Amino acid sequence: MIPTSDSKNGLSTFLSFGAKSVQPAILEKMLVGRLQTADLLEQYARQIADNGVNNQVFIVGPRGSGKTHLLRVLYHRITDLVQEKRVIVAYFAEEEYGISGYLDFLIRIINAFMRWYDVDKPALETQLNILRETPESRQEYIAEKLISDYVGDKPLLILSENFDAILEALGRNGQGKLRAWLYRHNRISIMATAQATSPDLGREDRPFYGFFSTIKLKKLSYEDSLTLLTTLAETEKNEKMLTHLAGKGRGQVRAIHELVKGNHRLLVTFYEFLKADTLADLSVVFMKTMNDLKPYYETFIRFLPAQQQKILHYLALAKIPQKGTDIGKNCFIATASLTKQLSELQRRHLIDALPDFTDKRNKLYDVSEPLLRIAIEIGEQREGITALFVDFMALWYSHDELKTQKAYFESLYLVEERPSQKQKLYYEIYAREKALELKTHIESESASSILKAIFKKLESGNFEAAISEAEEMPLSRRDANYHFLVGYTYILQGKNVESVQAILKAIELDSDNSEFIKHLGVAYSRIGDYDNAIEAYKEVIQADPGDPQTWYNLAIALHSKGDSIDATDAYKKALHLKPNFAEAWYNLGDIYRSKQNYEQAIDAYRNATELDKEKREAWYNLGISYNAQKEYYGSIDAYSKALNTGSEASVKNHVIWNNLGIVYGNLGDLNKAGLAYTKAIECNSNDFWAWNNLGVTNLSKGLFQKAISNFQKAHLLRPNEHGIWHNLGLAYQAQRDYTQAIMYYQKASEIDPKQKETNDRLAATVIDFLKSNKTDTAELIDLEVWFEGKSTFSVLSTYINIYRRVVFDKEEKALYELPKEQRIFFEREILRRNVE
Amino acid sequence: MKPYLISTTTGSIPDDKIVGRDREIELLKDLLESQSVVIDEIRRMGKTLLLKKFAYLSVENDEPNKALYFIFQGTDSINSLTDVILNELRQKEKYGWLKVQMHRCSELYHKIRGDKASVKYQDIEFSFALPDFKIEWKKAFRACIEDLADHQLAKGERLTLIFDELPIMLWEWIRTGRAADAMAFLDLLRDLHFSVKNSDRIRFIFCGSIGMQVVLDKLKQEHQYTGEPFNHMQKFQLPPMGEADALFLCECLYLAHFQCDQIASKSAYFEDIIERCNRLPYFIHSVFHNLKHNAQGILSNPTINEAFETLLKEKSAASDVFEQLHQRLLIYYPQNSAKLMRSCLNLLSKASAPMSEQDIKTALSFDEDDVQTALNLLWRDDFLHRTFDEQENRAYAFRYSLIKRWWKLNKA
Repeated sequence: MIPTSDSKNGLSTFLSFGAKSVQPAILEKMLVGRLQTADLLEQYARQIADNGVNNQVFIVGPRGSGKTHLLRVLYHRITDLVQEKRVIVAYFAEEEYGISGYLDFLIRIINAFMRWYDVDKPALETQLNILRETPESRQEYIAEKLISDYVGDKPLLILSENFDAILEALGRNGQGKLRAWLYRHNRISIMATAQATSPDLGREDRPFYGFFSTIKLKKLSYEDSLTLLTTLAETEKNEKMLTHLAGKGRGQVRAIHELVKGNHRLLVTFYEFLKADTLADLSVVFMKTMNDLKPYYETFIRFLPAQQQKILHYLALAKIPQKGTDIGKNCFIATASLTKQLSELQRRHLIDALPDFTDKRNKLYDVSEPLLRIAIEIGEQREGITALFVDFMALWYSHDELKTQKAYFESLYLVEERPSQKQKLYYEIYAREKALELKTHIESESASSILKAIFKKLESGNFEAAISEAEEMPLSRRDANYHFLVGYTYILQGKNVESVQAILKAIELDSDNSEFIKHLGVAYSRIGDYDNAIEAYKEVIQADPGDPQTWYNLAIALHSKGDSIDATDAYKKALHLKPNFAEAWYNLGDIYRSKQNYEQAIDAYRNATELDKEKREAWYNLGISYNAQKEYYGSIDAYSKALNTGSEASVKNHVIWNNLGIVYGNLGDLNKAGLAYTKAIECNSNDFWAWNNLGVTNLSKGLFQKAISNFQKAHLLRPNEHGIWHNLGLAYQAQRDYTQAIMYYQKASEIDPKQKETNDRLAATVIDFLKSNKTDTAELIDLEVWFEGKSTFSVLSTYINIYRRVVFDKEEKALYELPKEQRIFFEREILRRNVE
Repeated sequence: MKPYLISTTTGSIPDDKIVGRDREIELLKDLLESQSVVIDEIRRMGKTLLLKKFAYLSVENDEPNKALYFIFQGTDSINSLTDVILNELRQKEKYGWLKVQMHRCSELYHKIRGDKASVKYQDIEFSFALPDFKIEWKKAFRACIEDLADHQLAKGERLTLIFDELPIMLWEWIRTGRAADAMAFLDLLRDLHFSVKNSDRIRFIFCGSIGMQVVLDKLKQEHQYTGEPFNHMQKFQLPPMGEADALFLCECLYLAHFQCDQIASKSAYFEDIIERCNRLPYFIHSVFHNLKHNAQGILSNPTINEAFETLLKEKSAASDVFEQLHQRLLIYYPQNSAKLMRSCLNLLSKASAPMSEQDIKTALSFDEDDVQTALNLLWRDDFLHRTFDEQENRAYAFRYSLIKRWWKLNKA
């Protein structure tokens, strides 16, 4: 049993509207923007066959968004499953109308079997005859049974288009029956498409409420549109078009994209339009396309309720978005009914609701697709094609292109003598003049709404969206302020290179605006180009030396460049102009502190904290400065203030507690120091210094085991830190655990062999070890090996060797390998012998 | 059990692929030992799948006490209801495990109709959807059930009849002017309960999303119905999935071509998903669907967060499922009650902990008795969870945190 196939046609069929009868390979190529969805649907279908699951999927997209295309591709991709009858497919064609109830739906499935499975057609025909003769009350049951018998134990996959219309036709009762059947049968899946989300799926009291997983088809992006048109040209092998699309054509594709709102099918229609891109042909092709599209759009409107038709008509002719109250008034629709109709039109994707910037409680409504508006207008035009064509040209061409064309026709007009031709040329000039006027108006409207949108996005902190809005600004409206706004947004976004470029453009258009130059300085500063930043600030200061902020910015740039002397002067200027400039005091404090001028740093930080009591960093640095000046109580006070200005979970709290511990340590208050370090550890258990300092404190208090435990925690955090090995050595040495102490000192010395204190302590501990008389040969040999060749420890190394030989090998004469003074020391201090 | 692939889409799931719920099935069996059961639960909580699995396993495992699943959605009249039941019984009889003699039904049928229907299709030979039958349907229905009871008695086994979507069927009958039929059918069910009680061989499970109480309230208020047909039945509340079931569900869904950004994080991601979905299987499916559709099936912290954002903020099938809570108020309750109930939910969606009844009354400018009634209805209709504080005052909170968050974001 091989399913029948009717897919033999090529690209020309595709271009003439629709995917129904096109070769699968071409359909696959044209899957721009839909490939991922097609792959997902195929995956679902294969799961049905291979994994014994069901998949209930509802694909939603407006007319012409590629739904038929997707289902066709899916069907072709699963031909193997269909042929092997691993899945029985009932594929409802788009144009199959006439479902008036549940029985019709079931018959549609049987018809689909007959259509796609030739071999079974006669048997199915016979059974349909029986069904026809069955009493009405039993027909649904018999039809269900007929399908179940045909399908057997195989899964049934229903592929359906316009499923929202089918659900509507089934009504609540029919839907209930269908759902019950799906549950009774157990192995039926539905993958269906619809133009809009059906109200039958979204209401709690409807049978299919929440039943399907929805996939919404997105509109094509501009890039997708360009790719689709390029793919069409490639498939046609149209080299001229490919070249056009790689260059000048891109602008036109953008215009088409805007016009068709990313709609697959309309985009394909306009492909022909691109081919006819000559000035002379344009108006003719335009009208032809519009007339071709008119019936297509009429189907949008024909089946709508009368009130919705009136609203669409009104909005189309109004051209600009309208308020709900105006729509109600002009269409004579009561408010209660209007709300419902507007929301239904939105659901059908025929109108858009836009925010009303003049009144946030209101919304404005506009026709979703420009072409729909134009199609409605065609029927209403009294002025022939002029107004429509003007509308179109305003969308199609840029400002400059229109100007150039107008000039071109004007030059022809001047030399033309034939009256009829002259009249024709006058018409061309007039049309472009009007288009320019309209474009100026459209752009001005759109510029103001774009600016509002940018500000709105900036207010909400969505900088990326603000930039996207800005990109929509018509080129002719991109003035200095626009570029500055873009640059400023980039600054906020942290994209500093882009901000420099944008602000330079603004300055190019308006070189006198000091605000631009000031921000250019900020942008330069952010990218680390301090020379240019300084130059920009100085330029601003020259024009207006009284702005403390510019002096402050200049100071930051100078300081960042390493010029702390000039930076100090600049901060002082800023502070002279604005004595309560807390940030400037703070930064000045930092400069003083970096130069170890703690007295002046303390003054600056105190000014900063007085002006801004919540300035945590200033309190913190004040604490550091006081400590450096040995003004410990001032330091404790400042650190405590720093701790009180942030939340309990503030990131730097552990650092402040640690510093506080150090200050208490300096004051000799080991208990408070210990408590402070413990607090630091509570704030951040990974604070190496807090663990280390707590260890030192405990060591000082004679709590050796605690100290060792603290150091070991610190050691885990930084295994290669010399100091921590050293401190562990200290703790063990204090406990007279010489073996451990030597091991830790050795490690410390290995990490940093130049640390004199470590080396001295290691030597002293080894001597103590030898003196302790608790060594053994093995340990001594280990030590000998470790110390061998280390020049710092050459004497010690000899001592160990001599010690082992004298004590363990009883080789007294080894003592004579030492010079006399060393031998006396060795015998007296290490061997503890009485020697003169 | 080894995980097996299941699809991320929602809708119907084949009986043998329904994940988990073994604990709930055992609980159900325990309850059925002594009495029949009513299950009221809002839509998409997994009632139907639980019952279908229960019925499927009883046959698959050849248990002595089997269950039969009927779905009454779309059953628009008494006649078609009888048809649905008899057709299903005949189907099951063909499979061999259900021995229905149906002699009482046949006798009755011949008495009413005289002759058999003239048209045959394979082995199906009779229909009760005939004019004369209209007045005799109660007898036929009773005869059929009693026949089943007798047969089960002879075998020493018990049969459970599951009537899924019973309340919505009755609601539709009321809505389309057939409240009298609804009341007659409810009375018949009650009578049947007593007539088969002695044999103790038939149990019923009545299941639906709108709540039998809502149907009864409507009949009481508008049609002076006084019956209490479910007094003798035990209410069963379907809980969210157990942790192990929910994690297993994730494992099964994951097999449908998903990947983790870091495989070591898989368990943590699953735990995060089930926790945030309150272990409600429908939403777990929906999150995986969003991940599949919007993130190419990659699980990572950002994609999971985004999937939840989509779930809670965007218009989709899943958001419609949240929306049901709002719609239920409007569809099944009078306007004033609905408004007050909505105010209660708005308030509770913003509360960080359960709110005492008194605090709710104080916060809302409505009559206190009305607030109490509204809270009680919301609790009864499974919107809210009720607890008692230390002073034994009633306190209320959303039953599911996921739904609370949705309400706060979209309705409050």
